[in-house]
Amino acid sequence: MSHPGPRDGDLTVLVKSAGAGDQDAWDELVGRYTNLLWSVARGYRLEQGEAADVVQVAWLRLVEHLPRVRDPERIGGWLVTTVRRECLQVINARRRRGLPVDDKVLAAIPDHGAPIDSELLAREELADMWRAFESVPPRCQRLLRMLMADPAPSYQDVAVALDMPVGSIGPTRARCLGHLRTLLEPGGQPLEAPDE
Amino acid sequence: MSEQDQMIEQLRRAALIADPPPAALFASARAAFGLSRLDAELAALLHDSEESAVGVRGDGGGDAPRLVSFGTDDVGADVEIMPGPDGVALTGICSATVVAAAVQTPGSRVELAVDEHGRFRCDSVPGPVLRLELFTTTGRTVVTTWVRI
Repeated sequence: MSHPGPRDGDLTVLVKSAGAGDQDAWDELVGRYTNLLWSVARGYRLEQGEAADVVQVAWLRLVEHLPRVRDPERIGGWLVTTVRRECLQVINARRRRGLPVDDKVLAAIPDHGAPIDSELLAREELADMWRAFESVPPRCQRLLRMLMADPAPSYQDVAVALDMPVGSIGPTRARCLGHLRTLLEPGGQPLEAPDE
Repeated sequence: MSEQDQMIEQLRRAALIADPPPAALFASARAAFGLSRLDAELAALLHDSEESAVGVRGDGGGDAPRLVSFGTDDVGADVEIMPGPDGVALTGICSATVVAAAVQTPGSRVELAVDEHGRFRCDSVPGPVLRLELFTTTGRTVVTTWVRI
């Protein structure tokens, strides 16, 4: 499978073509970024329906924004920023309704949107990997969710979405994968229990 | 491929099986393009009580209506959004120059009567996102940015 990154150089052409009314160019943008935007929203532990809504609003806003795009190469950052802001609004609304929002509390809530279905996850190895992923600390989940998006995002877009310096993504990635590796070892336990 | 890259690749494959974006999301994202309104002026979101309350623990704030304001330089609307049985109910007031309005979702559009004081209401908007169209006495059309409800 190839992963044509958003920095392939034709992003400017795509954005300008979409701005000129080219539906095919728009569809290509949708194909490139929807997985990533979904990963961002799910990384914030939004329910599936909520995640779909925030991603949809980002695409609707981009339609509005197209005539005013100054730097097409940054469209990914613009989209993830929009999704992130909407995610925070959803979390804030939960807080006001008295629902749990603390990272650790959220991590303890079973995520019904991501069932481990043995039929679907035919390969036990992938099932183990996903189970381990759901046990790493929430901050790691957010980062890894983005990094695993298909196509792979640029570190620039990841930095914007997670509000962290580009330079710290590599070391944090290594640390989070270290957590994951520990969990995948026989008898591996979460390094940071979610209900502590 | 490094071991770390291999782990990310495995996660990517697991995610595509365990938690892929719904197919309908791709469809609605593609369809969003058809909702472009190059003929209209865009009214920005100027205020949203849901955003301004960030970090504030509500004292019953969850039951308070949400207030949002949209505006261009000279045309705008203030809208109260209340949860209802089928989506939300809207009550609003717009600039004196607005003579008609409509509320739009990606799949529906309802025309709203605007009274002599600029007031309008709509008892049921399905969501999950909406925008308003405002029509002025001088024939201008203003659309608001989309908001999630």
